Amino acid sequence: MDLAYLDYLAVNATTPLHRSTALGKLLALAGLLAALLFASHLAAALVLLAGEVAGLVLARQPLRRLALASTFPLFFAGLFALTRLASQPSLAGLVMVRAYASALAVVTLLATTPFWEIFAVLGRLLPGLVADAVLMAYRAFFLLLGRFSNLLVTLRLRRLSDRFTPGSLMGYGAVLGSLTLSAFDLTERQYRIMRLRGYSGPLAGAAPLALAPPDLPLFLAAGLLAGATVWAQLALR
Amino acid sequence: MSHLHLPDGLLPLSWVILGFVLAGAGVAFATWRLAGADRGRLVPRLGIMAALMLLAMNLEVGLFDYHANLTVLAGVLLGPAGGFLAAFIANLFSAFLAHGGLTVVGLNGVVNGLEAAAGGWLFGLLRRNAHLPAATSAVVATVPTLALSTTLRLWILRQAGLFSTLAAAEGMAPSWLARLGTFPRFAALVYLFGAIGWLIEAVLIGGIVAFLAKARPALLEAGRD
Repeated sequence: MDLAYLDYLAVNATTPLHRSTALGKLLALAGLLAALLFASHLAAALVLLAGEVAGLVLARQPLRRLALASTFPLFFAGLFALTRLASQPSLAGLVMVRAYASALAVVTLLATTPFWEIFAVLGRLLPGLVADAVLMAYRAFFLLLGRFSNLLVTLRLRRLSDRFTPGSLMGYGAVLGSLTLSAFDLTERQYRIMRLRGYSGPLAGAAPLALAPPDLPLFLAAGLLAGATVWAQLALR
Repeated sequence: MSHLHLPDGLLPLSWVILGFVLAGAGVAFATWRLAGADRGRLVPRLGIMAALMLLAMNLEVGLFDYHANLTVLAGVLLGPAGGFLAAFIANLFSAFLAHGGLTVVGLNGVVNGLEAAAGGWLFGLLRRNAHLPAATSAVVATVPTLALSTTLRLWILRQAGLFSTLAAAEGMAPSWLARLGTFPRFAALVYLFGAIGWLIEAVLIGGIVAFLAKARPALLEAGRD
């Protein structure tokens, strides 16, 4: 998944979903996931997936990119679905639709909400130490991403990625070791900055947990979608 | 099989809840263990280690598209409690990247957290008592740790009932699917390919630790909590 692209969308795009709060979108996501778990009939899960797609079109989201970014769990869901295909084809379909619909909802959250806002909300549920480390991990991920890409090029240039021997694995190890070393040098720099600023925690959770008027259409849409899914499930039972 | 790559909707609700309860207990215990640590130093280290683990998951190695995990390295560099927290954070992130479902975060956090804690503990034990070189200790600590965590994952998959449908449907499935579908055969496949993965991860972590032992040996002592 192209996290950098999703992060770019989350920060720079201006769609109706971007105006909703992170708390509102997390609550809507929880409602959709709960409805999806309740849907044990393929048609009910399809109702939710179709509703999600329609919602994304109405909310002017880049549907093709989001749909592609959500395909990752299909491989693992496919393994389970395959073993059920002959005896219970509808269950196999349900597994695939559930996996895809939940991934699409999560990817939409990522594309419309900056990570720090998501983790500022989740930080309320986590101990302060963990919440701060989560924010630090987010920052570090992007700091290290460029270096990691350069190291992958190094692996290719040294042809280590072409071989599969203990020697090449040790080479991989040395390359990752240099990345680890530079990463820990970053932590020392960060430590000095935090000491200088008198850090005693917390970094996260400073934003108040509040909903806003733009959350209302989101709640209406999510409620309608979850309700339709539950209705379809009860009608088909 | 580095963690449970289960999408949402497969795991029964009782196991989802159990996973989050156990993960909460593990995080609370690890946080309590680290209560006396210098938070200004610990927070960046936890964050960096979790980010490294996430990046390593994108590093595919070898013929079968294995990806590195580095949970044991987290235990080696941050100690058992720090390793547990770093693994939990990495799992939380990866779930938001659709790499495993949100409902599996609890169980994955527990299994990978225990992997990091056990690996870090075993590494320290080997360094103190067997006086092995750092890289050898890391390799020796990684293999049994990953074997144990694979067993734990298989146990969870079986106990969570993800194979009961298969067993019931065996008579109706095509023969090749039925052969693959029984739990003992699935477990045998996981152990077979898993063992290759454990060795790859062990040599990889050995390479990283060998590099760090030469370049910055103090890092390998910092994780004793």
